[in-house]
Amino acid sequence: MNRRGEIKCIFFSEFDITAGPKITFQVPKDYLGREVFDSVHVYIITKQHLQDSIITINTSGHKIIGYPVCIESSKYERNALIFNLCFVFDAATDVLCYEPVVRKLAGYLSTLERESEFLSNEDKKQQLPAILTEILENLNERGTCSIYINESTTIHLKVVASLNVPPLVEGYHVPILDPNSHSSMAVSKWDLATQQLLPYIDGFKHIAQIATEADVDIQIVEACIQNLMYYGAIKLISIFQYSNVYTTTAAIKSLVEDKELQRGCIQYVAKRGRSITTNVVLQMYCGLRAGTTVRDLCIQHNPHALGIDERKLIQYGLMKGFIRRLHKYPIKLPNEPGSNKLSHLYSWFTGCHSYDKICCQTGLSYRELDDKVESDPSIVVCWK
Amino acid sequence: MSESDPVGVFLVYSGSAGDRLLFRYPYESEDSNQLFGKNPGTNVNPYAVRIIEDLSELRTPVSSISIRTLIGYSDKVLAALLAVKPALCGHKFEVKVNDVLFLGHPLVVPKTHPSPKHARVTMTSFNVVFALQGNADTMLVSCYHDLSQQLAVALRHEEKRCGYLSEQASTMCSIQDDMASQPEDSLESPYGAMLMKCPLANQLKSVHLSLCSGGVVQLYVNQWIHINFSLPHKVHMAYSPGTKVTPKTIQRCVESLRPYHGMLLLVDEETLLDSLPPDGSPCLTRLIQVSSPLKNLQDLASDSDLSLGQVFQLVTHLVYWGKAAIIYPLCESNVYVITPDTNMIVNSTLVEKFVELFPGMSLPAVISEFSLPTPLGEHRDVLGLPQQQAQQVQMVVWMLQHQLLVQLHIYVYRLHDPQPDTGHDKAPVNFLTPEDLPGPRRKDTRVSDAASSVTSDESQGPTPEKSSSFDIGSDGVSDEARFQWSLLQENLSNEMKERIMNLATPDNAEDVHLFVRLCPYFNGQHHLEEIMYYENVRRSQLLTLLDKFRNMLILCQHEDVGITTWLNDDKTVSLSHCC
Repeated sequence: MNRRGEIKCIFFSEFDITAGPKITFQVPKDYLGREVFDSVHVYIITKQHLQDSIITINTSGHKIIGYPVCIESSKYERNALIFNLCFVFDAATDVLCYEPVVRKLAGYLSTLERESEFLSNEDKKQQLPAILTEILENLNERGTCSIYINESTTIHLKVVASLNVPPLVEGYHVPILDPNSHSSMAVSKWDLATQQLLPYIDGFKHIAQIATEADVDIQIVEACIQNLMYYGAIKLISIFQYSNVYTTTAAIKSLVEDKELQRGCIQYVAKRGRSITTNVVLQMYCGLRAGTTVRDLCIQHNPHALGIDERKLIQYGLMKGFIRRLHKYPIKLPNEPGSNKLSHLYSWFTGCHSYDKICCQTGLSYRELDDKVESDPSIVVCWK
Repeated sequence: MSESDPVGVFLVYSGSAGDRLLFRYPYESEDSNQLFGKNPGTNVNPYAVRIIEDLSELRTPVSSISIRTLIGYSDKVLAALLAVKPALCGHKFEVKVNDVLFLGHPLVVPKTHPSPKHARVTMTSFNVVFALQGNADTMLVSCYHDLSQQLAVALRHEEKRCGYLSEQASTMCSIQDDMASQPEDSLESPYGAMLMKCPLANQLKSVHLSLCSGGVVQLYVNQWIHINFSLPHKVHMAYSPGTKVTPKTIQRCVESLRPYHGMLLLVDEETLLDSLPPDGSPCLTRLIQVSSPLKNLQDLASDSDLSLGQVFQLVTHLVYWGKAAIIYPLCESNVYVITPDTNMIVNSTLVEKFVELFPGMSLPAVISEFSLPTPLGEHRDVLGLPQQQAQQVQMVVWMLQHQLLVQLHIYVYRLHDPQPDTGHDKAPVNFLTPEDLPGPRRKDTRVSDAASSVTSDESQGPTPEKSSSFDIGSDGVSDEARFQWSLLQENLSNEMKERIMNLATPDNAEDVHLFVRLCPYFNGQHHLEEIMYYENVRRSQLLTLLDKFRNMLILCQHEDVGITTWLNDDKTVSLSHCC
């Protein structure tokens, strides 16, 4: 939530019959100068074609978001009431997450006006500065607010941080609950399908397996997992096998430098009741490189004697990005004839399918596929 | 469609005759002009009861962008929106309407002596505006602003010099007026006619097209003012599609530029030299002529007779323009592996390009040899002809140019002391006082206590003896060694010191001194090549040393983050997601 910029000012502007566009109320007072408003008022009290759109202006150090509204009715002097409630930020603030808030607030105000002449009645309008102050304070402090206006309307607003779209989920991915996740959703808060899946997410089962064991359709599982990823509750790692190959990334540096991370890592990786040192963990991580399988690493270091759970070691490394998996991609060379026995599999050997994917989709075991690929000289294997 | 593409370019002016849109590209057919604010496809029934609480239209705003084009904005709307008041002129203009961001740099037209020829249009201000997708990041916005400003300033200059802008504007206006007076069923767009008659309109079109294709804009406004612009988001895509290079990535690359790095030209020398403007810096030409992927920047500096600082600047410049990449100079000990993002579909254009250049070779087969991190020298076929070897180097260069390969470096970490139990985090392990310096003064008891409590099994012998054993080694050496030792002290713990002392005997005093000298590099920030360069040691020397002290060190192999462009910040996140 730290990414959210602070609202500097909220102002209510309307088209005055005599004075033209003006700021009627502003909290805090006199934040936006008269000259600034005059230079941009065409984008605040707009012509008809720009009404009902969310407009952001970035000028002279301010970013102003507004949603101009025009209510047409013969009861108004010029047959229309034009107003705009704007939020003001610093020029560098990322304001994307405030757009829905401004839009919703404009909706509330036009409803209030249509139902109870909230804006055209001078007495009622005087409540506005107090409401704006409350919105400003609450949104800046907590990111949400609920303000009671009258018996039929309560203004509920919430700033929702704009999150990235989660990547596509495939059947061979392994979801794992992020132990450091800040998303404090209780199990009972998730939807029913997700609740059914959660017990199966243990960091070892891949999605296709979870779907079978939980007896849920795989598409639904994928959607649930994606949803959980959106909220940062889980991460995706790869299937664990002793024949897997991993390599360290530059992020390993953080494990050396960050004491907090070291503690978390040791806690996660150590077998029950054993105490281990960072050095050992670091040594094992650095032992991972292309050409060295997890099995080789275990033979070399004997993690059991050291009190390290190698499966958790790999899990933690993947989650934190210290290591990344090197996937095997079989590629059929186009100019070679190849053998008939394998031709049904050639469609997989285009270079965009990893062993994991092929195994998961065809039901072959890793070793079977390996044998087949090795026996065919027209196939090369890339690790990346 | 890439999100860095513009969705439109506009030229507007405001003057005596009000605001007017002079030119837009791409222009659309007339019938879609009037849709703005309404849902396309649904005719609004005038008799329908307007439901007061109908918030649905508030919730689902219609996108104004379809297939790279801005839709639903009529010329009048745009004119009103983009022609600005004089108060806003001379500053960045940034207005976002729903999901379209309009970006420009309005300028006031200088007062010239109005010639009767141009009397038709009197301009007060004008604005060259780009429309982008609303989610454009700040870097992209500032790049586009830069271009818009360049164009605007050039136009203002030309207006001042010879009234170019008013001349073009009056041509555009007259074409618009002519078209408006034609019968309604005429389908011809005035903008199409402008492209025939107005060089300015044509140039704006070419700006748009080159932004969409290559990201490089090069033109002469009124055949006089040179506009030169490159959009980093785009130019790097040409060599390695799919990578997202932002100015931030480039800045990171440039910041980690060191004299031992080399420069790899991404286009061939001839093409690059031809593309340089005639008044370009001769230094740049010289640098390009001597450049080779085998040389480091220092060699380049001496070969081209430039100062190192100048070479840095020129290389930075070439990198920004997507003409070069920073690499470690090719040599036999370099270790390359396949870049994880490489997309190697068998029949991709990349594979075809490769076969064209190297007939008889197949990219997948060649690249699969880089699955394991082996030094380049070992890839070479010992019995191969020199010709084949030369070809192999060329292939590696080609693959580096297309970012199919990435170099791995070895980084060295010093083993940390075994952590005392939690709670003793601030135990005086790293606490050193001047008395700790080796030499006549004895060690503080407190320190040896700490050391013995940390390593119960190693500190069995009495500590003073050990330090004296080190003293034997250091006494014979100059003050320099002592100075290095004191440097080391600053970031070494007692336990570590003790272990070094354990190893120190008169026989290997040299090793210990080298180790002590290199110790500051063993923190995972410096790869072997960097240590070799800065400390002027040979690779074999360094490797022997590392082997001797292997109990205290951890070696780790990964890419040099600083100069790896494919690894940008969001990539690292997604990598960790999808491993």
